Amino acid sequence: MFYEIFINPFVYIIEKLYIILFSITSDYGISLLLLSLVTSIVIIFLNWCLSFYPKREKQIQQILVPQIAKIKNESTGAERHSRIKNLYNRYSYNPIYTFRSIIPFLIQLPFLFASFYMLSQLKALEGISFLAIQDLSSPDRLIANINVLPVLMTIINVITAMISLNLSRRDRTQALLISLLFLILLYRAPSALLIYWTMNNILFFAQAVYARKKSVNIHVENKDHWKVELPFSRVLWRKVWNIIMSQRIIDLAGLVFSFLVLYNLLQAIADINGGSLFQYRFSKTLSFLIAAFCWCILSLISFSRKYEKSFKNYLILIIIASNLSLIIAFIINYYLKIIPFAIQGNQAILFVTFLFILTALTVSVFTKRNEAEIFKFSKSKGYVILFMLPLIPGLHLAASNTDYLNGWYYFLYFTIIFLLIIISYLWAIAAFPYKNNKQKLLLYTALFDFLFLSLPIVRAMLSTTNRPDIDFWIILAVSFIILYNIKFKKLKNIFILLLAILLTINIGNFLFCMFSSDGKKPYQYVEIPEQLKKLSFQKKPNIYLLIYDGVPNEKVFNQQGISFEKLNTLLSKYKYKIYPDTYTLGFNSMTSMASMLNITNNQGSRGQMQDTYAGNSVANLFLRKNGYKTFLLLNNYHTGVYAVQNKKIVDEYYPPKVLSAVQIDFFLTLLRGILQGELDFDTKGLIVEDYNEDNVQKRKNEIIKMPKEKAFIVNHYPLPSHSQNSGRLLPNETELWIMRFEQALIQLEKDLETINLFDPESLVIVIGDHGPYLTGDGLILSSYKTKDITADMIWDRLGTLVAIKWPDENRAKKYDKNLVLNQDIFSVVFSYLSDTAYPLELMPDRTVTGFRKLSRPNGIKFRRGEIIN
Amino acid sequence: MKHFLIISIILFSPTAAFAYLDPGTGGVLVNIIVASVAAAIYFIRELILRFFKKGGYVDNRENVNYEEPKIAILSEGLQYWGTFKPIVDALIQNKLPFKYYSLDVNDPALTIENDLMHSQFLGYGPWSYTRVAHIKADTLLTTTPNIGTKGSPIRKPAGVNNLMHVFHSINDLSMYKTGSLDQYDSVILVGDFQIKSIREIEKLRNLKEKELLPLGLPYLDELVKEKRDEMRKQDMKTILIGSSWGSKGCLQSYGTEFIKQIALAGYYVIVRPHPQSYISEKELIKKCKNELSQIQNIEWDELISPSTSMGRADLLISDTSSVRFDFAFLYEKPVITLAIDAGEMPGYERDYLSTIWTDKSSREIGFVVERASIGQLSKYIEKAFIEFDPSKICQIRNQTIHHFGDSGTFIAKHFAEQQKKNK
Repeated sequence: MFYEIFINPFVYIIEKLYIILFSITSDYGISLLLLSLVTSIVIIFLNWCLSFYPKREKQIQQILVPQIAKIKNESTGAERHSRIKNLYNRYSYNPIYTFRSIIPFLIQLPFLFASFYMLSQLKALEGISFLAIQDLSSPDRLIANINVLPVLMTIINVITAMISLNLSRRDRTQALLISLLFLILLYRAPSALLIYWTMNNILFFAQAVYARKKSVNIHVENKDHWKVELPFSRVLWRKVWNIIMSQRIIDLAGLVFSFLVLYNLLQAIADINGGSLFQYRFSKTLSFLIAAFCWCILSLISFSRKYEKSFKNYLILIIIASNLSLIIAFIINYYLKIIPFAIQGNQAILFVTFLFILTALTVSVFTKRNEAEIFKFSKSKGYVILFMLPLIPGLHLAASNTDYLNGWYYFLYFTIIFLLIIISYLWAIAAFPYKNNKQKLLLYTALFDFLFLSLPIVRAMLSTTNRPDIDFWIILAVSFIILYNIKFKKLKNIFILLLAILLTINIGNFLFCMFSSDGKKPYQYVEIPEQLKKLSFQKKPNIYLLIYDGVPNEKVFNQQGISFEKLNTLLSKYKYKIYPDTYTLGFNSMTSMASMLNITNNQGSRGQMQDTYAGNSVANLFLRKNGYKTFLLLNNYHTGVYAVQNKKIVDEYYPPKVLSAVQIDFFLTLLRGILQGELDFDTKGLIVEDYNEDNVQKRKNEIIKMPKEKAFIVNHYPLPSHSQNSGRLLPNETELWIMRFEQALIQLEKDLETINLFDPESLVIVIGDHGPYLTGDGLILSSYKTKDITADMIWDRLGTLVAIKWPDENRAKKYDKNLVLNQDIFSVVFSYLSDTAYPLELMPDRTVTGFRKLSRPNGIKFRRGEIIN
Repeated sequence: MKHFLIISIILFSPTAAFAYLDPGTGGVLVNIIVASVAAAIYFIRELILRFFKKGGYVDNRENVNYEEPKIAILSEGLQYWGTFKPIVDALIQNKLPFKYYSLDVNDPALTIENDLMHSQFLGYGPWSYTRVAHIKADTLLTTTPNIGTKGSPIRKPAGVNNLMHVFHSINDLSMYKTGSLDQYDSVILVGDFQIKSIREIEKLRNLKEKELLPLGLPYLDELVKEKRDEMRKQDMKTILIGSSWGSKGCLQSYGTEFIKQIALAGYYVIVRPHPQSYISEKELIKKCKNELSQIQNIEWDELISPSTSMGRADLLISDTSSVRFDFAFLYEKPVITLAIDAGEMPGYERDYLSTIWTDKSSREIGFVVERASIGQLSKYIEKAFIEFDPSKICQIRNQTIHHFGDSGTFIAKHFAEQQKKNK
């Protein structure tokens, strides 16, 4: 209703104005600039007309505040209130008049709301380019996928705040914070909106420059001791330079960059196992390089201020020049691709980056400080904050992941958090070369750890994926600035009290979750559907369910230009029936397999899915009801702690499931998450010691070869898998997938050959659980508009291989006509085994809904190869 | 901390941004929240205290013995505080309740907390003039001329029985604009020299005779208190240039040549324009400063109070400004008047008067230099130093000014007697 009454009229006006301007200029971009110009002039005029209100309010505040302070000093209670009331009466003032100061703001609001709504949703701008911007309805992504316009807008805002007249230091700080806040909020806004607002800001900047030039006479004494007036431009640049080069800014920036280096170093360590360094997190390389370079430069500046000898200045210049030239070479190579990046670029970058880090650390360590003070442990409330603050998100994450943490592993989890805190504090001491204010160091470290541990929560709230962490670093930088400027001493006790309250709430929540976990409830087996209850199997062959992670159907192979020939030949050789154009209802392994084994399109929580895959599924229980034995060759990631709890309904787990082994695996997964830059449980896990994939395949081979009857064997082979999860495809993503597919093919051939030799009468199901994710962003397409998401992209994610070797093909033909989904397989298998069509009724709806986000709450529906909404 | 909290709240809220602020009003988000909370607390506290009538809370409306003060003062602002302060102090000392209305938020009177003094700022612009028109009092004392005349924004309040004028300088009616005192009912005389001009104008325009009260010039009370004999900062003799503003002023009329002449003659010069010049004649002041910037022994005095400069100076050169008389009577030092042509002062009561008091009195306190003789100003200065007689000045002062240095007390006594009579 607010929108209809207050905003809609302005939206209408601005839209009409834009159309008129477009009809004159025939260019969307230029029309935007003109629209901005017109609305800015209107706003500036209205502001000028009403500018006396905030001036009056400010004037009267300056008069009242000292008098109120005096009254507060001299009296209390009712007497104080009376005196203040009389004071207000004398000045004909009412506290409600404070809102006079926001009148110029209220004038701007309708225009700004209207422009936001209009430009965010204007369909005419979709696909329209302007200058270097490809699409006015999307973020600009002008430099290395970084959105430049929001940064430009913020820089102009910041400079305008610095040069605006009549702003107190407090007003300037607030203006700075608001500018940074809107950088975060508008970072992914459409380019059209940002062009409009940036142009607005340029006009406000020009207004501020004009006002400044008109009213300020800056005089300095010349050599004859006469006062001479300085040109305004010189004053401005001198002021800007002084601020940038102030030790305060250098210290703050140095601290931010040093944490950036620490953060990215963890990821570099994490990726050592994963192949080429920096390849997994390709998108981090540039930011890591820039951060290391900046930290190096800032450290050198701080160092050179301490030591004045000229040779050190030359040294600094040489280091800066050589580092800068290497960075420029890297950027040029990034765009022109002269040198194959994967071969030579990484090593050069590595060398340079570690040179920066080494320089910065060396400078940090050797710059003189009051070391005794820094390393002396003394009673300080800062330590309390250092440990309390990060615990809050730590407890929250632990409470949300009770499946992973059991028994004494809670203790180990919190030990990791404490270690993280201590490492980051020691790093901060080393990285903060000049100032030795321990309180501030403690606060900054606490803040960094808090943000790091909260990152998964922040991401969820800001609906981001694993992108370059600009949001994290902007939040961190803004928080540093706030902490640096507020008078923390006065607020310390309040801050600690607030922390204590939050911590208590989180401890309570954590304890509640821990003691009311699923393990404590009576265990419930999944209910077998009515359609199956009265059935009995006519035949009971051994059943193999072999999942090859991420193998798609032929359609997807052709879309990616990858040959399906080898796979087709192999499967045909062993008389497997390949079902065309099959897909799954789940976007990842767990959702796909859990819904498949339960013959449903419902997925449930992570714990429920692990429980399903660990044996508490319709498929497994029904087979066991018919006398089957179950052999699950699955890793802990898939089965969770249920692999320990479900031992009664599974005959063999391999690798063997002992509670501590499961926990260790998850614990290593957690460590891996930290090293990958987030305290996240859902990451690429490490194999438990003593058991690797070779062991699993070896055991599978043994099971295939061993004489048996009525056996249900499940194995989830981890290759070829999907593309890496960085949110951005590598240049050679497809080539890497093909390499992994070739490996999987070797294993598949081995499996099929062994089964053919040792268990030729078995029923073998060979599937992929989801697609390879080789298109778009290689992930969940969160930044893609609905119209840009094609059916091919969805096939790439959901299209799966389904190939079945039926002992009796003729019988199978009676029931497999409608086999389209992975989730249809067991209803077809049970129909085959019982020779009745009743289980076919269980086939779920073919429609899959995904790609939901805040601005797309209904998601995208896909059905039999078509997008249906 | 509040920034951190607010930003945290915003960050963890839905991500759609609905507003944007230019940097000048960038802090308004925070201010709105703080202001809302502060206003709410104030109102709640007011309600609670009023409802529960806690000790220490005073609400005059409930005091049945409360009587509206019969005396009211109207001040245009800070620049006239020197005139009203002695009166205010005396009224408080005599325990006479009164109201004080001001048109200037910076008026120091508004900072006084006293149960006898009910002061109020009337607001900005036209709204304040409307409120003036609704003042109710037996006597409204003001130093503002032109109330109720054509073109004046301030009208004579209908609820005032006696509009009383108090002067803020030593001058007769000739230095006031035409019709300045026509609407007034009574006038506090600085000295008897003013009677003639007042009565002449009354007769000319057929106006009701005003009540004339020989109570003096309260403005001088403060100057007497502030008088200090400053040590000379230089070995040179110091000449103070006290200029009026507008067409009456010597800076506008003569420019800066005469000041250069004095400085080059070896005197240290303090230039003190009227405070109003900094508001109404900014360009003229800037121009004069530029012209005199190269000369080292010239200084500009921008203080509201002239006491410091007057204390340091050995001689004052002025135009039509009453500061001549202030200087002569307070500090008993020589004065030179630069003649301003009547033609340069159109629209003043002097056009209607047969004699101008200042024409004669200027010569009594010092020399009057005509425009043609301005080139010989230095000689006049030398002569003034030689021929000056302080005792003569004292005599003139005592004859001219009623209750010199203690006018406020007598004004308060007058009001006290009036109130006794009316009871």
